Amino acid sequence: MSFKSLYLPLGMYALRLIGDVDEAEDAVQEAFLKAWQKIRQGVEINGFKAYIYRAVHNECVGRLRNSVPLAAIESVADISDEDIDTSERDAVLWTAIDALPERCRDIFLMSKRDGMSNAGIAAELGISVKTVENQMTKAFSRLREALAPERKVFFLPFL
Amino acid sequence: MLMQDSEIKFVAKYYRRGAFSAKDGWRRMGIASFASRRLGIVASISALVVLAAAALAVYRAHSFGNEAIYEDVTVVGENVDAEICRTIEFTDASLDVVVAEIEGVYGVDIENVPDDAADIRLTLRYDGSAAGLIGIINEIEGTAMSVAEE
Repeated sequence: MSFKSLYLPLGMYALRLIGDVDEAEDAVQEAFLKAWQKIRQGVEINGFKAYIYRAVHNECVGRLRNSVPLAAIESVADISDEDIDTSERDAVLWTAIDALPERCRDIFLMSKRDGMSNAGIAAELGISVKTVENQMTKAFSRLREALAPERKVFFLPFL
Repeated sequence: MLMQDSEIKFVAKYYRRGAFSAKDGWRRMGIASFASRRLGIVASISALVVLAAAALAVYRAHSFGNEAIYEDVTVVGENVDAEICRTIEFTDASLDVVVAEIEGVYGVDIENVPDDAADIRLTLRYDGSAAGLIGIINEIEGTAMSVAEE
């Protein structure tokens, strides 16, 4: 478990709690800084992944406490394994979207983020609907590959 | 794993190019924030304070790309049994150069340097000990280097 491998999933976890990219990233950075301070002071941290998820959770709750009523804070559930799995899937999706070719990503975001129809995207960009559909197919194909990298294809020999 | 449309829409809703970049996040956090409080007291080389049972050596090594630029070297006190702390800074330096500099500046040997050290780039500024710096690099890069015991 390294900073690099945990940073994005933790960011996604914080994002689901806070709903703001900058705040979520601040919360993750603050959690890491505090963890490293403890390590430098000689505190032994067993199970770093669970620890840092807890630390990010607490940072987020603290930030929410400053901006929303207490009753809303009390409804924030504790961390579950499912939450961690979700954050890791979100991270894979984020990385996959980041890796899309620029035009493909723009079209994908116009569809999934902005809720535009294929016809609307085509009109906006001055391209054919068919092109939009092809780009969306490409995007989904890459996202599926990212989420299932170990999928194996079996070729049956023809007897 | 199957994709849920809700998952895709969530990530797409917040997606922003460059956000949650581990490399940028590390740079923003700034390793200088881990500076030992002892070094924080020593603001300038001309005003070094000898702390009880400890001697500080302040050494600045700047490396840009793969070139090192050294500034003042000042040693205060005679006993250097306590942990040696240094300020060391690299900008886009390869890990093999960083390791060589650490060994030279701190007078230590680093073990378990990865074979692809020349391909790993680092930008950092650090105030502290060799062991602390190696620990931080291991956290960033997922390496398992260590300072050899004497």
